[in-house]
Amino acid sequence: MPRRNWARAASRRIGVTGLGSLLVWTSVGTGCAGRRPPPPTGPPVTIVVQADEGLEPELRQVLEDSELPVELRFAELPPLPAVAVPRLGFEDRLATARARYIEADFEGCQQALVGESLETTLLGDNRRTTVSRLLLWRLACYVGAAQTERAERVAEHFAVYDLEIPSDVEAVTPEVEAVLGRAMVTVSQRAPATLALQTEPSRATVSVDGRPSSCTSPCDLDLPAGDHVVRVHATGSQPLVQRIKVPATGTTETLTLTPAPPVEVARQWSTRYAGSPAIDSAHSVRLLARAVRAQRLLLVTAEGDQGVELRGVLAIDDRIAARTERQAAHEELPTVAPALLEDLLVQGEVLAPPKPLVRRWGFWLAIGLTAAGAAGITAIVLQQPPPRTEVQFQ
Amino acid sequence: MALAGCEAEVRHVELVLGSVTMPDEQAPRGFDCIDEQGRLMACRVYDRDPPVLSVVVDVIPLGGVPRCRPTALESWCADPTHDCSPDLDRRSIYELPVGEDRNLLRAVEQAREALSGQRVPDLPLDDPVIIRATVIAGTEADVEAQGEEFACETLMGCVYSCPVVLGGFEGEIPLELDVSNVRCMDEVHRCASNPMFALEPNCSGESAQTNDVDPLCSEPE
Repeated sequence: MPRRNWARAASRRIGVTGLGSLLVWTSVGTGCAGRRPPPPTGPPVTIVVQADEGLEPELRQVLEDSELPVELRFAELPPLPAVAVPRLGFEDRLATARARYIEADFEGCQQALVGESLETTLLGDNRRTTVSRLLLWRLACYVGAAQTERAERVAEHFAVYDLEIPSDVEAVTPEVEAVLGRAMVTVSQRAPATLALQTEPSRATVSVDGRPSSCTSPCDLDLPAGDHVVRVHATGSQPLVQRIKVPATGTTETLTLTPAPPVEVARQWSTRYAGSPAIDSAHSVRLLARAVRAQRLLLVTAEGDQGVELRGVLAIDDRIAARTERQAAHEELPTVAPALLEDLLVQGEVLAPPKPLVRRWGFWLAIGLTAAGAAGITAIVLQQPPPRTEVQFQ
Repeated sequence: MALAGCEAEVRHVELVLGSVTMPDEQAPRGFDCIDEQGRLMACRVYDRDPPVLSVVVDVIPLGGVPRCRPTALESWCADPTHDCSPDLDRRSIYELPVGEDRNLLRAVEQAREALSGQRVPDLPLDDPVIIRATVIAGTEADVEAQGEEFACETLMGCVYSCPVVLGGFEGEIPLELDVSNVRCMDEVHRCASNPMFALEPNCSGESAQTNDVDPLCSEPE
């Protein structure tokens, strides 16, 4: 079965979508509900198996039965990310605001769109069109209520974000359009200001005002002076959305990202690597180790039917410690798979390499005993008197 | 195992003197040959007083393993590369008293009883040999005095074994003279000669052409 189909099957097996599925996956992935954990016999090693549907149970069983001096803990791959469901609730609020505006209920219009962090949140989700409509109706509500200062502030935000004017503009008065037009002209005449943005850790993806990937940190952004919404996200970190005021003289900002919780890391991993041929790439394995909370993670993949191609990667403490692969006939799986596992663990120095014969005391004991035995037998043979023949008359 | 290894294996070999007797059980084959006068050669034991005989056991090194037939042995020993002379250093002599009742059959039985259980020392174990037993009328001293060759008039009989390597053998070794009747004086001479099976033995003479023998060794009238 192709990997994509497997991922879908896994998703069906989880049976829920979105955050719920991640929570369910977390409980399955970390707890392995229903599986009896093997008695701890050594350092814990988390193992994730990815194989064709028919091969995976057998491979798991073989690995589970391997008598290696480690405590193997099986974990599941995170499921494919759920398809984002549009949030229809905000459409209702826009429709309500529009209805109140037409009824000249400007107080009710404003109430429908209340929420200071609303536009920041929406821009953080790259929903520029929605923000455009939000600001347009807010502007209309304020203009209708003759709150000129608030209206101009909203119009300035619209212009600073450089939003497209939505089609809803046909439903508002020309006065609203005029306020918006003036603001756009004013903002366009401002000299661009520089936002010098740094992040910790660096090399994070930076989005400004809901535009996808504006730059990679650290970077300088030339923006119209004013309030901007900056979204910074990096793999393994919790995405950060922050409103930054950029003065005309420019400014420098340093944003510190916090490590993402395993659920978020799992989401990031599944978005990027679920069903991908790069599943055993270094970045994927490191991310996966964090997603399954594994200090030592073994990822074993298997492909093929009669001839099985086994690949394994070991990540320890966020670094790739070992990588190997084997090709074997299907019936050789019970011997080849544990050997691959042992090879990885030895390469990664989780297990001590098997001592060569000459360094095993048992070997020398056996040699000694054999030599002593041979010497003893030789001595006995040498000391044994020859057969004595007694000849006598009958 | 080590203790067991210190104990040498003992192989028992028994020499059976004259295992075949004539149908009338007069004397074992080899000791029932008659001389030129038709008298049993064994009766020579009564030619001296008191009667006494000596069984002389010799080892004849062969330098190989010929077949056991007399002709094969004679051919083997006729080969100049094979010295069939007895090893005199290994000679054993058993002096045995004989009753004066001139009953040869009884004398033979007495001699057998006296010899039974007597060990024959110092035999070579690794080389193929023939064991020869020559019966001489006389004491051990007499035999020793005779030297390498027995005195012809004292020869009573002679038997020998097939070629054998004693070190690899365990069991009975019959000592016989391969003849079919009592007219076997010449065979006794060949057997007792030095070297053995010589084409021209030390002693000569043909048995009388008769099959009648007197086991009681009657005194000449």
